[in-house]
Amino acid sequence: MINSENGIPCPVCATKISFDIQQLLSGVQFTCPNCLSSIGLAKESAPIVAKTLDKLEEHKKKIKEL
Amino acid sequence: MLTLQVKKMDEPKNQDFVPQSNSEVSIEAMISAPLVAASKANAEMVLGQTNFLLRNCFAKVEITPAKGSVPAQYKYDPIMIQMSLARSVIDNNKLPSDDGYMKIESMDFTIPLLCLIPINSLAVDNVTVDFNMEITSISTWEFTPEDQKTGDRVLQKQAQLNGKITSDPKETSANNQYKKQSSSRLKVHINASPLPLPLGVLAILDLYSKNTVPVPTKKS
Repeated sequence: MINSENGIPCPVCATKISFDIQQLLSGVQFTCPNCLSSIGLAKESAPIVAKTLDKLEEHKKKIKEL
Repeated sequence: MLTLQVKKMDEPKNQDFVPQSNSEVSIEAMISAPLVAASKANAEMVLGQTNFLLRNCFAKVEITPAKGSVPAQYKYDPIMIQMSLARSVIDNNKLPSDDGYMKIESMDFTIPLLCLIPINSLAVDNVTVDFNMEITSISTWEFTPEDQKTGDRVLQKQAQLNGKITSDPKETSANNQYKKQSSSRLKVHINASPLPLPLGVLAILDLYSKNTVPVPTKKS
């Protein structure tokens, strides 16, 4: 379970790196508390994530309307 | 076993239409109707979430095209997101005082989009049905079903309670008849809250998270 806790496992040491998706989108890098590696979103992938987040918000609005 | 038939009511054809809110209904229908509605709402939300994941986090790829009456077959490939990783690396061939003893190494890795977006399930987890009911009729019947194993027949009695929704005696006074009539109501409190993701989605996320491996970038 990774995304529901807003974290992904560090690719180096597998320790959970917590992140905020909006900050990740804005270019912030998040650091692994164990091995101090930092992860960030590649620029070329940012539009895909932003578009999906917009669609997720629309989806949540539809659910609330139900 | 309770069977419910939910039908959409026709629109009133004239303005004199008065809904028969105090007509007699069975107690099972009174209790189960809001629960069925909540269950349907949950199913809609789960279906919506599944469709959202399939449409936005996976790419639908045709495996075999449709041939005659055989429909086309598809597979869903996860949309991968590229991430960058930077970590400090010590060069063992150099002394700590040397330049380049510690350098930043950049790597790339990809994770599924599914793992990034916050997709907690939202579902109805608590429904409270609150009403006062005046029992107006009780129907009972007897029957003797045969036990399939022993072949014995046992007399069983069942009862059906019918009634009308009434006002809460605490809320109404005896001298306010209008208030008494209009306050007959069925109160349904529904609480929706985030629930853990379905096990299937968790299993997919777990598989991906255990197989995330960084690959050095071509630049470095």
